Amino acid sequence: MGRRNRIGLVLLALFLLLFPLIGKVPGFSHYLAIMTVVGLTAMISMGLSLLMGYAGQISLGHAAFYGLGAYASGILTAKYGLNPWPALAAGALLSAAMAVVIGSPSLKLRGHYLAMATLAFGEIVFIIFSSWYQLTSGPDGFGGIPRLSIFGFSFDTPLKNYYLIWGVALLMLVFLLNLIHSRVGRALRSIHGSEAAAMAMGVNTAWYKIQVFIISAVMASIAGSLYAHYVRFISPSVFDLNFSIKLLMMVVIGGTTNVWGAILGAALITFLPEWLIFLQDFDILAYGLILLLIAMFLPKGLFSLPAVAREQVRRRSARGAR
Amino acid sequence: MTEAAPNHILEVASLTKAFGGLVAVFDLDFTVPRGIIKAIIGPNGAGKTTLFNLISGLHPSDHGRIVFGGRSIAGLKPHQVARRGIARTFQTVELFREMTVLENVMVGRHIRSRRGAVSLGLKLPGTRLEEKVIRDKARYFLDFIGLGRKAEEEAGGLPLGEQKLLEFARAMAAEPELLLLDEPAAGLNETETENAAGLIVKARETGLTILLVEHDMNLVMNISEEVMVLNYGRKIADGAPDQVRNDPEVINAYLGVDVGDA
Repeated sequence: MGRRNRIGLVLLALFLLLFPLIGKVPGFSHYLAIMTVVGLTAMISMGLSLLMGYAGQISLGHAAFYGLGAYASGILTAKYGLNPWPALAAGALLSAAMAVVIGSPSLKLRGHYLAMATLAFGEIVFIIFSSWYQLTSGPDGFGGIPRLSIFGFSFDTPLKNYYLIWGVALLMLVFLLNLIHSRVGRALRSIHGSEAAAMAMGVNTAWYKIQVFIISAVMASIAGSLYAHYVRFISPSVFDLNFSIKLLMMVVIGGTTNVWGAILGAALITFLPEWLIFLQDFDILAYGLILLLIAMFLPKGLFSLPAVAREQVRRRSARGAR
Repeated sequence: MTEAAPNHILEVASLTKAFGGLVAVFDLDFTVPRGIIKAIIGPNGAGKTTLFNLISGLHPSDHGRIVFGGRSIAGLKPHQVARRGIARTFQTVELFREMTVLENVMVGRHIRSRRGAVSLGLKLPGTRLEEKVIRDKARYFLDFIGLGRKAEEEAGGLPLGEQKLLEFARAMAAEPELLLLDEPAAGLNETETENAAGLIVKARETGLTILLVEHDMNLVMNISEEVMVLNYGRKIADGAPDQVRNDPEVINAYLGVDVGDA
């Protein structure tokens, strides 16, 4: 996966390991909970960045895959008493199956049919969550979801959940970095470069796009399952279109074709409301303004900031030399 | 191959393709004997590139048979045609511009490698070895065209002549049985053309069959064993270079106006 990625992984792991210390500072105790949510969100945005950056497709339904995971885990464990791990696998399997059903017809066509199909899918899933009372308890949601445990070790504190969730997120990051730097990753990038040439070299373009969609759906579903066992209460409102759009924003802000950017985007979008609280009613204005500025001046995302800055300095000095 | 290989690697019969009212290829019959270099020439719009797109599966044909290595490939998708053993280059260079030179050739190894997304993501045993083989083979074909020293450069930044060579290496890396070259010398200067011709001949010596579309008459007449002439989507001549050169219909339709200016 390259030396820079390996160094990045070590630095990120160290940062995440030490981050809980911030929670000890008075006034920052809630940062651990926010960072845990960032971890969950990053799992989804990373998969989405693979789909957007490498398969060139947009999904407006990833909140629904997140929800499928959460509801599968919640229902199977709280209402049917199943062990959480097979429940998580069942959610992932269901999400993968749904991804095949939605992805196969729309990804064989060129153009943004997937965006439309996932938009509809997200709405349908949301309606099911809010109105299938016997199963989902409707708009009010339900609680009583058990904690996760492994070999008798229970994830029963926020700190343990934080480490569990970020541990899984890092594993997913490693998986994606491995994938990107492999024949499959090259095949995906080649589709981006020239679809005709990619096909002529034997790349089954439609099948690779479907695979990426499946992978991203499964990642979102696993995030949803972990969310359900962490919060132990779920209701439909978390999994609406609004969240799907937020996920897209995270990917764009971080810079598509960059899984690292997707993590940064998840962190920024999740923390920003917290940092803007002092503006009171104007927070939403500032939120919009910041996103607008990033989109205008860093169209390739936050991760392009160093390159853009270097370019600016180079131009300045070139002008000065004349 | 279990059965005796047929003499003709490619057999095309009554192949027809129209775009709306425009007939690009009409009732075309021809064969390509195994192991030779065969050129397709003809004025612009004669249907040469369309023919390549039909063989490689990029366009579906309206009618006709395309038999490769004894099996029909008509109706197959491009990636399936590639799997059968046909690789190609493009008239308008179609490189993966934002990937490195070496990575472009590595994509050429796609059909020669098998690992799927899950085992690659998990780095299961054997994936590292396969990646190494892909890299080594790609290096070999990059050295074959003499671009080894530019392996890590971005492909889009190469001059046109080297981009054409890189496409050639990418197609070679698939180790096909039949290689389709669409105007390998277009836009090249004399030295570059000579170099390209040398590489094509060298590729043929490895047992490859080569079908090429080209406007450069010197190149065509020097390296091809057979030449087929198309005009308005129909075949007007097919045979040895000397025979085709002296064919009155060819002189009339094509050579008389175009020869020597390439």
